[in-house]
Amino acid sequence: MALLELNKVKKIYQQGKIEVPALRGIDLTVEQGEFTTIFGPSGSGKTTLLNMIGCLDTPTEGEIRLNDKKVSDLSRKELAMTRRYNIGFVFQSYNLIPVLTAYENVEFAIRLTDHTSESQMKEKVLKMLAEVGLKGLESRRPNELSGGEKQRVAIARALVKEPKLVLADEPTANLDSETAAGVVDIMRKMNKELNTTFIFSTHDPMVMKYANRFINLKDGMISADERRG
Amino acid sequence: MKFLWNLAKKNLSRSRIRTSVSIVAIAFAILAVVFARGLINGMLESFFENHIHYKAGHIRVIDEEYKLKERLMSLNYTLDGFNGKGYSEMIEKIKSVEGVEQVVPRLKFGAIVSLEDELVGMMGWGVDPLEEIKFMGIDKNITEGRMVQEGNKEVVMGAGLLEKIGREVGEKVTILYTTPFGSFKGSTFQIVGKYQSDIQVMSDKLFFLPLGQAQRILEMPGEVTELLLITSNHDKAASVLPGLNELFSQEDESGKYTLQIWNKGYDLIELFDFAVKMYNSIYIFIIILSCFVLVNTLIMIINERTREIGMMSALGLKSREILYLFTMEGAIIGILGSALGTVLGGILTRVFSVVGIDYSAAYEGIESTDFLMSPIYYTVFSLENLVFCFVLGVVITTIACVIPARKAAKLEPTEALRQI
Repeated sequence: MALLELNKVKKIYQQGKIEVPALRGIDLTVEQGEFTTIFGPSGSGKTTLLNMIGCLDTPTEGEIRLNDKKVSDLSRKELAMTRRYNIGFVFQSYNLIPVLTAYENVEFAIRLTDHTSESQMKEKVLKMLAEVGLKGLESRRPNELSGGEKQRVAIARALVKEPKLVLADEPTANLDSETAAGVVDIMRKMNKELNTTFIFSTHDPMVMKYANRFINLKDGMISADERRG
Repeated sequence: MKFLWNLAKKNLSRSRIRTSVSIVAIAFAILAVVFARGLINGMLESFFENHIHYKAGHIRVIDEEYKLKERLMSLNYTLDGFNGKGYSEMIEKIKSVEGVEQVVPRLKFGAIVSLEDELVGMMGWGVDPLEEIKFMGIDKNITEGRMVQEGNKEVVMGAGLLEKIGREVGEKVTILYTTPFGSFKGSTFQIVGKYQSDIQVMSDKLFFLPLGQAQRILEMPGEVTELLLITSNHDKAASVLPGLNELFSQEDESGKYTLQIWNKGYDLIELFDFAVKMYNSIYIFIIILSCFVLVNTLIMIINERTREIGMMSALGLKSREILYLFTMEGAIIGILGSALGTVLGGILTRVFSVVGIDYSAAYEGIESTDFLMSPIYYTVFSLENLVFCFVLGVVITTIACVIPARKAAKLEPTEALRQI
């Protein structure tokens, strides 16, 4: 059973009286554990597609199934709950909460989903931060961390609740190549160790080097879909 | 939800100046409301006390017609007891009604003192000295000499009145008056005391004489103009009315007497009742005004943190939780502002409950016996006022926060994440 299925997914934005199609009928199946990149020129619909997959938005037409559950016509609240328990997000600009420490930012995600004891929760958060190489930096706030460290916190936040799917929208766009390589390395490691499915939107060839599936989007349609390794 | 509450607290440190400005705005409003309520309560308490002492008691028994002629100090509509059996018997029967603790008889009449080139108008009150001491603590206001004693031909005069007529305690005074039968008479009394009232009109016009003496000179044996009934608490006086009504329906065959509770049928009291309701609206309005600062702050916060709201949505926060987060941020400001305002307002109210605010200049020249305001207002410092204002502040600010918080909760995650 596929983790994710998209059938003839269309998204049309209304700009005044003009209809702007962002996705023109996407058919896509993603299996558990895949490390997939979605690439394509600006305006090709990468972010829109990630939003649909991530249950942040609903399609105008078509069907999306996540974990064999139809999510394309869920209510706002149901979408939130689906995101909470099944999907992790990594953003280009990290989107960490500045008043929280690295530890608390990661803890924030797990508190929404995990109802285990405080000590178990703490253990999980510390372990995840250590996994992404942030041991010893737990009490630092985002403004005391480098770009790479911030993105690692964001990855830890996305992974700590052990989601089935992690979506990353240009996660290395704000990082230098060496830091970006480190960040992608971590995601690849998590992908292997936890069998977490990763879907990226990226322009970064270095990220693409690590991927085992490449989806090329053009004008809101999949123009190429290749698997490697 | 606890972690959202903790986050809300931490978020307030993002812009300390902005948070502080909002807290100070709320604090000022609450301070103003605490002080204003304390002042208004002080004014009302003072007015009610004077009104009860000088005019109404908790319940007043008068002739129905007397109410209309009271200003003229008419002696034609008096109380001569149930079916003319004298007021003393009436007092005894009234005292037997449950809840009536004291009955104070008064015979009020107009009088003058003739000076060489001037007539000085006065109000004479024939009183039972012991009952008045018990009721008004009148002896405490006698700054020189003593209270009149029943049976003696003596008077206690207001300090202003004594000054006006150029007499002193120990001297004699001849009082001119008209009896209910129209005879114009004069009687000479020994001045045995000087009465000091903070109500100017009472100090300038009032004199007391023993009730028996008043009845004698006015040729009104067994009559008074009013009986003031005192209960355990003026706020609960209405509960005594059914028993009194029953007594009067049985005993007062003529049906000429009326029972007037202290807060009904007096124009100024009813005006104050309305004013209190209006003041309550003003208090709420003041707090709502201060909420504009808070709402504005929250709108700025939400605009600045739109992406963060998008991120939180992506993490799976429900709209309700985002609403809670931002409402709590505003509520914390409301709680801190209300607490600060309550403390400062409490201190200010406490200070002015001791030193008072002198309004005497504003009251100069007011000679109405209806306007029984003391010229110095003392604010009332009460825990009830502090708790009321604090709770009012927190409730109104929290409700106000829901407006911008709803805006945050309604943001579409994709729109929010696109925000630069």
